[in-house]
This record gives sequence, C-alpha cells and structure tokens, in this order.
Amino acid sequence: MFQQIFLLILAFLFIMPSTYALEIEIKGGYQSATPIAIVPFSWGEGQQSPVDIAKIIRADLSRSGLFSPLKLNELPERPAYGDSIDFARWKSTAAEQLGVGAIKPVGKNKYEVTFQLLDIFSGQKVFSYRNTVDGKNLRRIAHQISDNIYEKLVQERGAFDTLIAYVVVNNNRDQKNRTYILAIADSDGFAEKVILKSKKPIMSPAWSPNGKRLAYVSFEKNRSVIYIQELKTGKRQVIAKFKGINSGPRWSPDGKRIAMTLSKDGNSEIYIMHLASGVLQRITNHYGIDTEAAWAPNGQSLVFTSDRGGKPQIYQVAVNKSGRAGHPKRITHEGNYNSRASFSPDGKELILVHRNNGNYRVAKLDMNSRQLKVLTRSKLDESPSFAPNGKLVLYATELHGRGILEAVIVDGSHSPQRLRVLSGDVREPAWSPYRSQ
Amino acid sequence: MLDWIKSNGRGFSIAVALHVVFIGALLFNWEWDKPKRIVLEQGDVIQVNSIDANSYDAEIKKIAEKKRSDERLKQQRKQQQVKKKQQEKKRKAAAKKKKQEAARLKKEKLKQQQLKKKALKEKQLKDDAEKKEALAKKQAVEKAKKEALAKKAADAKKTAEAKKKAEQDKKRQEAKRKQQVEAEKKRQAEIKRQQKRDREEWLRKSKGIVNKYAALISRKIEQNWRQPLDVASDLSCRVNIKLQPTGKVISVRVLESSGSLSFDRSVETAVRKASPLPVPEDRELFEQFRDLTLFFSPEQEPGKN
Repeated sequence: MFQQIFLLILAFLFIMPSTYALEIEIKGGYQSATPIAIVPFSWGEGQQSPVDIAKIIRADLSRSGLFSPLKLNELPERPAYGDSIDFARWKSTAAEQLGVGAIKPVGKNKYEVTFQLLDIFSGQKVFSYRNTVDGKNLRRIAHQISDNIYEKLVQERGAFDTLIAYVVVNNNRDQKNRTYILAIADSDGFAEKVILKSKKPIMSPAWSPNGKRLAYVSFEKNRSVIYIQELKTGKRQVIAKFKGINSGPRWSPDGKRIAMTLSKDGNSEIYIMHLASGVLQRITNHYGIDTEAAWAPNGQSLVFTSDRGGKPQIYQVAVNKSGRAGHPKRITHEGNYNSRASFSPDGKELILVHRNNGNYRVAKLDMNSRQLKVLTRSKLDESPSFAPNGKLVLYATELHGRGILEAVIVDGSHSPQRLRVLSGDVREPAWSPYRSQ
Repeated sequence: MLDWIKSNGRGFSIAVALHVVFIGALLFNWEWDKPKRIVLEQGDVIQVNSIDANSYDAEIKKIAEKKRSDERLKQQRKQQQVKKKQQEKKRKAAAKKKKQEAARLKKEKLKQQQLKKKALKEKQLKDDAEKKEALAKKQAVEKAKKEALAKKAADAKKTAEAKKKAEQDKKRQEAKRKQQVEAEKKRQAEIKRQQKRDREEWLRKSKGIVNKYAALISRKIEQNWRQPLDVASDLSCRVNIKLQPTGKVISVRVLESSGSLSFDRSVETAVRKASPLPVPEDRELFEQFRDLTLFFSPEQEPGKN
C-alpha cells in the first residue's frame, strides 16, 4: 500500500507535462566508492609475476577512498585483454569498471606491461596503457596505472606515483635498544628505503619542492640539528644547528628558502633561512611559543602554531623575500587546540590537528569561510600532510598504542584508509610532491 | 365546160390524146390477136416520103422500105403503145401507187399521228412517269437526303448524346470517384479522428499506467545511481535515452552535462545498470518510453541530510 502511494506520488512529481517527450526525473541516488575490478595481470605459463601489479592497483584505488575494488573471489573470469571479456558476466558483479592487464618478459629483467580499463556497462574502453620497464620499476608502473585510472574516472590528477617520508621508532619501549629510522616509501608504504638510522630521535622530514631532497631534524648529535639530504646520493648538509631548538623545517615553494623554528634568541620563533646565502630572516617575535611553520603555495605567507593567545592556535603571517614580515593573524577560533597546519596545494584549505573532547583529530579549515571540519575519529592523530593532488591527507595515528599511517579523503565522509602497518611506531609522515616521470 | 376547156386546152388535148391512145390501145390489143394490119391512126404524125417509082428495087426497096418503115412505125407505135400502156400502167401504177402512197401516207400519217399521239401520249405518260419518277426520285432523294440529314442529325445527336452521355458518365464517374475519394478521405479522417479519440481516451486511461512506469523507471535508475564520493551535490545532468520495447537501453546521450565528467559517467552507468528498464508491454504505451529524457539531480529532499 505504501509502495503504491509512493509510486503515485513519484509519478506526479516526475512526469513533466510541459514537453511532449516524457521526461523523468531521478533524484537522490547514493554516494559510494566506485566498484571496480582489477583482474590479476596475466603472466607467462605457470610463472609468478615478481610483482602483483593488480594487487598494488587495487590497494591504491582502495586507499584513495573513491574506489572499492572487487575481491579476487568476486571476479567471474580473469581475462588479460580487452577483447576477451564476457561483459555479461561482469554485469552481474558489483563492478562498474574493469581493468585487465598482462606482464610479458621481453628481455633480461625487462617487462612489457599492458593494461586496459573498460566500462562494463557501456563496453567502452576507457584507456589503455603500455610500458616497458625494469623489474625494479614494476611497482611504480602499478602506481602509474592507478594514477591513470584515477585521472580517467575521478577527473583529477592521481597521486599514487609519489613517495612518503616518515620516521619509524623501533623498540620504543626499550630505551636501550630504541632506534629511529628515517625512511621513504611508495605512497602505499611499500618499497621502503631507509634514509637515516639513528639511536637518537629523528623528526620532521620535509620534502624539497622537486622531490629530490629531504630536510629533517636529527638529534644524533644529542641536540637538534636541521639537515638537508640528497636522496639519490645520500649526501647531506647541516643547515641549522643553532643554540636551543632547531626544528620544523619547511621548504618554500620556490625551493630557495626553508622556514624553521629556532629558539636561538631565547624563545621559539619562526625564521626563514635563505639557502643560498644562509641568511636568516626572523618572522615572529612574541613571547609565546611560535612553531610548526608552513608555506602558503604562493610563497607569500606562512601559517604557524602559537600559544600567544593562551592556547595553541593557527596564525598566518605575510612574508616576502627581503622585506619585513607582517603582523600574524589568528585564523583558527574553534576549540582550544589547533596545531600543525599545512596548506592544501590550491591554498584554499588548511589541514591541521584539532583537539575535540580530548581527542586529537585531523581537521580541515576552509580559509575562506573559516569553517573547520574534522575528518577523522581517532584519538591521537598527528602530522597531517596533503597528497600533492590535495585529495588525500596522510597522517599518523595510534592503534593499540602504536603509531600507524592512515590516509583520509579530504572531501567526503568515509572512513580513513590505513596504510601498510609497518613494524614499529610510525610517525611524522610527509607526502612528497609529484614525481617527474 | 368550154370555159374550162379553153382555159385548160392542154389538159383537154392530153385528155383527148389519152383517150385516143386508150381506145386505140384497146382496138390494137384486139387486132394483135388477128392478122397484122397496119392501121394509121388519126392523130399520129406520120412522115411519108414519095416512093421513087423509077426503080422496082428502088420501089421494092421503097416498098420494103416503106414496109420496114411501117413496120418500124408500127413497131414504134406498138412500142409507143406499150410505152404508153406501160406509161399508163406506170401512171396507173403511179396513181395507184400515189393513191396507195397517199393512203399509205394517210395511213402512215394517221399512224404517225396515232403514233405521234401515242408517242405524245406515251411521252406524256413517260413524262408523267418520268416526272413522277423524278418527283419520286427527287422525293426519294430528298427523303434520302432528309433521312440522311435526319440520320446525320440523329447520328450527330446520337454521337453528341453518346458524347454527352460519355461525358456525363465520365463526369458522373469522376464525381463518383471524387465522392469515393472524398468519402475515403472522410472515412480515413474519421478513422484517424476516431483513432485519435481512442488514443486520447486510451492515453487518458493509460496515463496512470504511464505514470506508474515512469515512476518505476525513476526508481530503478535511482536505485542504480551510484554517484562518486567526491562530487558536489548541487550538480545535475540531463540525458536522452533510447529504449527497445523490451526496456533494454540502446543508447544514453548527455544532453546537458553536469560539468563533471565523473558525475555524467555515474548517470550513464546508472541508466545502463538499470537496463532493462520497466516499460509497459503495450506497444503503443511503450512508444512514449522509446525516447526518454532523464533529469538527474542528487539533491535530497530537505531534512534528509
């Protein structure tokens, strides 16, 4: 009965008598991650691919929050090429899109990778991909394919073929054997490469805009020192080992300056170091703690955390290359704790840690409306960092007393995606800029 | 009588001569039957030469001569008489002939007259007949002419009538045909009108069904309409879809893009996912669903988040 009444109401609502042709209105629908099937890539007879590309793609897409890849047991068939697909079978699955691919050895440690994405319901090819690479680059190929899928279906640039830097603390509870590792890995947390190992704390890794260098703080000399290290060569240089605190290095968008927190003048203040000359430019001058500076994408202002108002809040200050800094303005007003802010790539939002009922959570602040939106439901989030496409935020949080990495989609209301659970405590992640091909 | 002789002396002489000849001929004819005797006939002119008495011979000769001359005379006389008789006879015959001729002529004349008369009569009769015939002929000709004319007229009339009739027939047929066409047209129009009426009536009746199916389609697509997570909720999209009578979606074409390709894609996928769409089984009702415009808008009713 209810259904009939509902249908009648729908009928009256939806039939537009103005035009001769029937027009039907469809309202509502539902939002969800795009169901997509990525079939395991075919490989030569009875052989095992050195890298499960499909699995990497599935994880990437899943982590983005915008896709829900089918599980292997949900795949009705495992075609490797677009022309051998039985679409009727796929239509009965949840998938809307179908990716098929193949890896073919074409020489010593050389592989030709092909991939096609197809729209199951229209039968149309969305794109095809072909590349020949070394074995060690198969993972990267997987991420590039993920980026392609993302770009085609989301209409935004993908950020899977990027890196993350983070700090791992091993044996955190055993002070004697505790070790700190500065590492980089693919954006999915795999293919980890250790940059620095130390018995003393390593903190605040920061990417140079070209993605080739990292700045970080190391306590290996039993005091905080800011280093810059070239990833390819491992060559590093000290850029700040002033008396007191040397922390929170952040590269300017042009790569020529680094903002940092120094207490060489007695109190934590924000400075800008001009890398070419080594000249320091003091940005803040307040008796409160000013720390955790971050650049606006246009390079003309910084945001930083300051307790000059009594509680930690985010302030913004205008900067220019040679002149004096402007007067800092408080931009967060919600709650009594906001810290560790970073600009989104488009400069329209800030991502920060916001304390809410005793929980420290990742939140985003709209720079225009000053509206704050909490993105996570965890207890102790830290170091949120935007993906270069601004779609995801990577952060560290605590799970069973251990630091892990999670990513959350900035727009939307779905659960954060956990990255690979590494051994040890993971903290202070930093997402790299886009990589050059 | 004397006067008559005096005035007609010659005739009288001839008549006397003729009488003498006639009487003499009568006597002569008689004597001829007896011995021959020479008789001088008064009235005859005889030339007599004196006999030379000198010579017997001469005389005999004279006598023989005379005898011969007499003989000759007699002969001549005889011949003359014969001639006269012959002449008389001839005359008589001539007279008779004349008489006969006259009679004949008379008769002939009479006959001719009769003939003429008869001929006249005949001619008249003939003429009359001819006249009559001519008249008759003329009449006949006239009649024939008249008849011919009449026939001609009749024929003309007939032809005209036939023509007229043909024309009339044609006209009638044309009219009939027109009428039929008109009637057919009318009939068709009526059929169409009736069909339209039926259709309208049917449509009115079927509107509920159409509405029901529109709602079913809307719901089925809505249930299949999964939107991407990262699209704004104020988007909308208008598409045209074409259906098979089975409800199977043949094509989806974006009429008004939302501006977001992924949103448009979600709409297209929703329609294709929902295929086959519920459509009325009735072919005519289905026609309203063959070509549809769909308007997609994710905005929820107020209060539903």
